[in-house]
Amino acid sequence: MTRLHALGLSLGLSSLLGATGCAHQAPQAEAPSTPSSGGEIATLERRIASAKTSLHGGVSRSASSEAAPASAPSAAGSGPYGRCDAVCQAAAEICTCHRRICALADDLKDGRSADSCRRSQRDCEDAGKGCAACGG
Amino acid sequence: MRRLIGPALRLGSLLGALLLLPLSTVGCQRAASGLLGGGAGESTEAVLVALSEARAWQRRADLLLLDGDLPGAIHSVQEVLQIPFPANAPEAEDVRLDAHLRLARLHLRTGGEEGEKKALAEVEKGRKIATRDSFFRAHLENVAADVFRARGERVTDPTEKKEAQRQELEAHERHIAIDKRLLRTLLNLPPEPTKGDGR
Repeated sequence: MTRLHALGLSLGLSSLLGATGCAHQAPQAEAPSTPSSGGEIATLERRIASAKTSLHGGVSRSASSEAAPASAPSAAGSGPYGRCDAVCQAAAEICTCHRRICALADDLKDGRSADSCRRSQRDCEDAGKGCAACGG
Repeated sequence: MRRLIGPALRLGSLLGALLLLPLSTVGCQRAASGLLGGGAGESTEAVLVALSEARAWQRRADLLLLDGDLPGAIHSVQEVLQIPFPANAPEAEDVRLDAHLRLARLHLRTGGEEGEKKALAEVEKGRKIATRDSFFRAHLENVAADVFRARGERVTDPTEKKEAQRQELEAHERHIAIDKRLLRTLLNLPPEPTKGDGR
């Protein structure tokens, strides 16, 4: 597996699993419980039990099992659209970190933090250029 | 931001569909042994089943959180780490990193010094299993930064506060370093020469 394919797989799983990062870090507000959540939990628990049975001792291959994984890496990161999406996600995260680093440097008021702020500003600018140029 | 989110949702839908399609037929046929340790076809299906189980535990955690059951949600996400993926399945690392990431965030929500310690312990577990750069790996540093930020806001001693802020800044630096390497990979650029500070 190439580095890019491994990265593509990560990106796809990131979407699938709903991972969050620097650019998406607002905590979720607690929503009131819905009457159907108990039913959905029961459904999920049946699915989990079924998966455990399959993994540990029970289910043979399905007819369509070969369809999925080969598609995932290319769909997620290797095509120009997915690749640029990832480039711009990384750029957005770098710039979010840059803003926080510079806010901290304002508080810390020392040379090392100021250097870090300047470096991160360059990183943000470079990453932004990479995003803007991607796929164009 | 719309440019970022739209494709991500489509990718999620695509992978979700890919995941659900084969699983709709799983369970129709019984065999003598489980999927783990089987041939290539069984291994492929085992990955899909394991991914489905991970998604179910994560969704269960979502629902428990809606009910305000934070300990239940933590337990649910911990179960993801027990899922036996086939050996050498590259998906396993991302799924486990995602679980450590979420556990760290959930522990942080419990609040106080204890929550921060547990969150940092999860971050460290994630760092240890990571074998390559990924957004999951980068986001672990984001959680570390959040922990130090919370610590900086909690402590009253100026020296401790400053130390927490410094640690938060360093976590952001590590996050940027990983994202920069990811960018170079995505843009097919050679790795940056290593410097003294690892950036």
